[in-house]
Amino acid sequence: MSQFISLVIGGAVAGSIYAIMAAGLVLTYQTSGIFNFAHGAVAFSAAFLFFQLNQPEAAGGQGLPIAVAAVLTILVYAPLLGWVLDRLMMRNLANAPEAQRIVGTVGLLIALPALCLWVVEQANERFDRGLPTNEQVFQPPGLGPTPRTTWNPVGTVTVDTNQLAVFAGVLVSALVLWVVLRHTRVGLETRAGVDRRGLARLRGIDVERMSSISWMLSTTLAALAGVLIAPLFQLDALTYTLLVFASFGAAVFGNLRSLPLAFAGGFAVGIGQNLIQGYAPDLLTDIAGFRTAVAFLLLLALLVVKAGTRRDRATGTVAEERPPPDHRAGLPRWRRWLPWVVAIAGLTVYVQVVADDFWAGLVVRGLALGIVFLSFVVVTGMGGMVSLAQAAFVTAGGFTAGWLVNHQWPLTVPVLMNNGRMAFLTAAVLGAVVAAAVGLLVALPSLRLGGLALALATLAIAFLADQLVFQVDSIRNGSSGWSVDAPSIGPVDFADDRAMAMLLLGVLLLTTWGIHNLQHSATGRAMLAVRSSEAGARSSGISPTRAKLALFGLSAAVAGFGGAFVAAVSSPFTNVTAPAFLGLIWLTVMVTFGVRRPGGAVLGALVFTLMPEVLEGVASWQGAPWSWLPGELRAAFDSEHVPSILFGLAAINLAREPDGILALAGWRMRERRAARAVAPPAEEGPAPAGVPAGAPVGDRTALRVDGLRAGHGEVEILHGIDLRLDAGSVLLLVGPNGAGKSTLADVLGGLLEVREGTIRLDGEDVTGLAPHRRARAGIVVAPEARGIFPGLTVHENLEIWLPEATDRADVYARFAVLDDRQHQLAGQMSGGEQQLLTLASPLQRRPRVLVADEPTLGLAPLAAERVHETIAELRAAGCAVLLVEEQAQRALHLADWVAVLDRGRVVWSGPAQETDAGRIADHYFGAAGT
Amino acid sequence: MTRRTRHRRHLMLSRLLVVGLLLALLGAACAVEDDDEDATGGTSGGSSESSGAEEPTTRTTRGVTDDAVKVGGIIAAANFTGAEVGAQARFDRANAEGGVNGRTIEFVGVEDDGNDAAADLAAMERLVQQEEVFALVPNVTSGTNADFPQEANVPLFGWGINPAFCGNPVAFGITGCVTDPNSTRGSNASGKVLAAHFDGNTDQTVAIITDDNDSGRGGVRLIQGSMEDAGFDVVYAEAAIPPPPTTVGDYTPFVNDLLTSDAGGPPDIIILQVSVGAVVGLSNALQPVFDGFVMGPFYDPRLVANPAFEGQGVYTQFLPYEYADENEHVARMIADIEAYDAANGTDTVLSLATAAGYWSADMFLALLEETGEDLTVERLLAASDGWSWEVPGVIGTSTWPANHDEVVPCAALVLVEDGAYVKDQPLTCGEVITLE
Repeated sequence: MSQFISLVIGGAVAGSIYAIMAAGLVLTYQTSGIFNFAHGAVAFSAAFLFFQLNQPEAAGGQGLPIAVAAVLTILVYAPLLGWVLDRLMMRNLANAPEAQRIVGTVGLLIALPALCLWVVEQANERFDRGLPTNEQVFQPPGLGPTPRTTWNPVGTVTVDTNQLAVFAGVLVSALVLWVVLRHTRVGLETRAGVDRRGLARLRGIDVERMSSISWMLSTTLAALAGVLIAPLFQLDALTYTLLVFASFGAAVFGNLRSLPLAFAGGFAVGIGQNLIQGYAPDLLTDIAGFRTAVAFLLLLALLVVKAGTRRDRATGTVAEERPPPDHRAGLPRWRRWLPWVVAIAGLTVYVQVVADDFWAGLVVRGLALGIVFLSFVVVTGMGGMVSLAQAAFVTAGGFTAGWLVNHQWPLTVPVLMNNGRMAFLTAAVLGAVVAAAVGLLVALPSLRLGGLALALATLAIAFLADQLVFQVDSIRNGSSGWSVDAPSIGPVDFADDRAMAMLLLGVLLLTTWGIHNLQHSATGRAMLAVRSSEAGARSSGISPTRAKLALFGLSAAVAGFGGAFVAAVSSPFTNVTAPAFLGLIWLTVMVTFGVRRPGGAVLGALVFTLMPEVLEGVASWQGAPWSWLPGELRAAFDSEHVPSILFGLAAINLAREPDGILALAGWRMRERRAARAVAPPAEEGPAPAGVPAGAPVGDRTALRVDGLRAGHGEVEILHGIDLRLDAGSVLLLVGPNGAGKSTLADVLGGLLEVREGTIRLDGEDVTGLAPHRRARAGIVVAPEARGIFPGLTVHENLEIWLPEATDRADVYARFAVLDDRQHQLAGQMSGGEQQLLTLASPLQRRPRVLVADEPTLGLAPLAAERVHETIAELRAAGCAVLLVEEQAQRALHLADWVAVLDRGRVVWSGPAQETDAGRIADHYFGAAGT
Repeated sequence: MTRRTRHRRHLMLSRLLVVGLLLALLGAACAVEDDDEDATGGTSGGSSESSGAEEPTTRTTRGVTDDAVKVGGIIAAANFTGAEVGAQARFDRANAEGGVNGRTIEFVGVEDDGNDAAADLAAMERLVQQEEVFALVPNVTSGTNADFPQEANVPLFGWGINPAFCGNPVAFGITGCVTDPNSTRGSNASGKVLAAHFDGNTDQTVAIITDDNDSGRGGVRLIQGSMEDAGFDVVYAEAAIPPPPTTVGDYTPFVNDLLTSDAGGPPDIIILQVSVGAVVGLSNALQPVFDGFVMGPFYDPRLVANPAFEGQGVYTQFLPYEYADENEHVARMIADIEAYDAANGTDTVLSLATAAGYWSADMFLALLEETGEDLTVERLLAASDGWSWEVPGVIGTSTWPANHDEVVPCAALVLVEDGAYVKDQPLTCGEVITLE
């Protein structure tokens, strides 16, 4: 019993760390859709700053007291960092596909700690500041007193002041979060935005400000955690990052959604880990690496369990994306291949003639890595799946090849083998086969997850492979690894880098050609269909699972094949040649250079390999073109941190460019080509024919829309709409499915951008106004299917639009049913009650224009009547109402004017008195002319 | 036929083939192969033309001039940052004394490989192919690439704490090959020195905990072998602690296991052979609940300011600085480092890494002297055959080539008292033990 209590108490201390980390992760994932892999890096940067400020002056620090340093770090630096990150990075990423969102924060994970360390390194080296470095301390200070006090409350548990400080920090931050989210306006708006982002904007909530605030809160949490845990661990960026990875399980426990559950999940993971460590049978703990793997085993188990219980999950891949337009479209075939020919010829000449051994060796390693990078083109570029397990496949391939070429076989097969030793190329192919098998093994449990969950599952699996499988001595050949000699074919010995470069170029070309064919094969087309619409693909007889499995397996095979070559060019291949964490960095580089293009893979791998050496060269070579730069400046490049900073920043910047650097360059060239070509006469779009709908322009015009065009993506849906709407009148807009009614409502609310035309409110142009500003200016849109926040209570729903308590009291006085259900979740009410709630707010605080999109859809006749009464009341009060209905009859008696919308145009309009249902029906079926 | 000669024979031919192919590809006939260098830099003479001759006629003189020899090192700065200054201090003295055989040492400094084998390979290529160093001195990292030094014919001198120093004919560890990759051969010195600490009273129970990986698994067996060899009763020996970069949030489960390992009660002695983060974490967690003797693996003055380390013992493979008053070699090392600090305005921490760098340089100088005036890599390696080296009372005797494969079985012991190390047991040597 005493042991159990010890384990639980000790686990709770560790769990409080996971809890505070998970809370920060969930907060920003909910508000911006970005799962912040860099959360640990942010925590590290804060702890490092705190360390710099708090270290005594004798040790080179600033000698500030703990409290001052803590305030500067946690309450000044961290919110500022959060604000900057949101402004510069997160907003741009929020709408990017999953891979880009992940890569953006991984870029930050790489760049931020490197930047911190580089600044201190440069201050010391260039300016002799003698700042303390993190290598000099084994126990950095935290918020607890130094030296710490230790207690032994029960059994073998020891608790010290630093651990108590963490515990207290978690309680305080949970309390602060609770108060902020539950009892402040900002919190209410944040929760509304999380619940229904689009509606929140229509209700006047500035979601961008909300995003800023949540990032500031999240970085503050990270900073607090970072400073608190510094004395428990070492001040090392990777340690912090892996600590956050271990807390992913807690975030998943909270469904990546619920803060209280994430907090609970933190404690559950901490205590769970301890109980497993304490009570796991010898059978398990005797497996080398089992104890290390507990955190990721828990994460994987939670992911699989949670995925099984979630109903709203499509087994989708990442966010639906359209392949970006090809900048090479329209180029003849030889022009498409020209860059490859030029690049290969250039590289060949460089390696054979110009480069010395050193640079030739680097190019060879870059090319071998290029094969590995091609595997990302298959899985992420084509398949849209984010795999963070590629490093594990590389290791599987490398180890297989290493074992095969070093094994003495009793027989020999000509060509494939050599005196009982497997020939390298045979071994490489078998390495690919083994990696593919491993890939399929990984894919089976993970593929049904899709999106972020797939990324997290592959991450967990990659670490598990590192910790459990690749540690086994018989697999890795002890800590010295497998030595792999480069092959020799006939008289050509590829141990010579210049020969190896040619072989690798050939292999790269073959692999690229294979990928090219794959794209145009049945599997490639099936995958394209799956990515466009999984449901659609399934109904066309395509099995999404099979297509994804095929791509995942193939990608693993390419990675394994590359692993064999990596082994040959940087022998020996050990379990640390391609650690799991490297897989994250590879993906980042790959996305930066364009994850869809094989060219991006080769270029990315070469730059990744060569850049550190080139940067070092900037510092040391004399007589080079950059010699005019001041020596001090050049020396600043000679740092192991600079490549990390540059790759990280490039990833942050380019993550939103879905096609990477190559495509950017490609587009620029295409623009130039286009500029050279004679500009074709601009094609006239169809004239905004159609009838101006609504009353003639008068003094009372509340809303006026002129020549409005809008659409989604490349499809234009509204082809020039003109509308007039008088104050105190109702314009009934009818039209069949797909006419563009809801699109028009979105455009009026500001959710969809106007391409052409203007929207005026009381004569004032509001076309460019953001949704929340437009709502504040007086246009309220009640979108189709209830304008409520189902996850908020009735009271909170009202509070969004009616911040004044007296206003809400009036609403309750009028609608007893809402009064009765003040504290019930709005989503649990009946349809009629929900619609009532939707309209109650604008009834109390009247907008100038109300756009009601099918308010009676799916309501019982009695409830629908109630809704119409409300609208009539609004009209009587002078509000202009645009009532959108599919069926005219039911609302005709309310309307002053009727307009018929069809295929994006107003095809008929007239006063309601002159309109009868039959006439409208004619227009519905296109029988009457316009 | 060694890999090396096969490689050399094919070199010319394959290059010709490749170039021919290239010329055909480009349809040009004016490309000229830049052929004045090959993989080993400044090698003169050759084996490809004269293959068949038995005596090694290859003369690798990379980095050697009449009056200087160029060397550079690789360290993992995160753990072994002092090694550069250590080596520099020793070379400074050698140069001040006129060098070795008329040559001064041109030390180009160290590269940092961050314990990463890929970075280590890049660093080696930079030093060998670009800087053209004769040898890699000092080499103090756990990420050493084992294959490149053999292929490129580069001797390396350092602390053999990674498997690249094992079974590698060009690698010279000051204490031999410390980390046997198969984890079957080690030294019984730690058990011997601990027995000496207790004045021969080995009627005590010992618990050993190491990292949770195969290296830790091998380590735990070797320590167990060493302790049992000395007569201790090992009641617990587990490779249990998740190694870095994995973090351990709470050490309670491990402390529980340790403190109940002797028939439900605590053992007399606990031996920690874990990474530095875990040493700190376990020491913090053990200090309030364990009264016995703790042996830790790291000698580092920055650790012991933490009161949790009070009373711990640390065994080292070579005599630490605390013995300066009774060992002239240690005293001279400290004097050399102080001279370096005085000249450069630095304040070098006297860590084990600093000493490892210093002794690596010392060993290299000794073999340089042994080789004589005519210096080539081949002659240096030939001179090492049958050569032995020691620093009396500081580092035990290594004989070559035997110590390419096994550790020098010696250890010393210091204790932590009042936040500083104090002398306990001087260098004590035992035997190499082999476990199956």
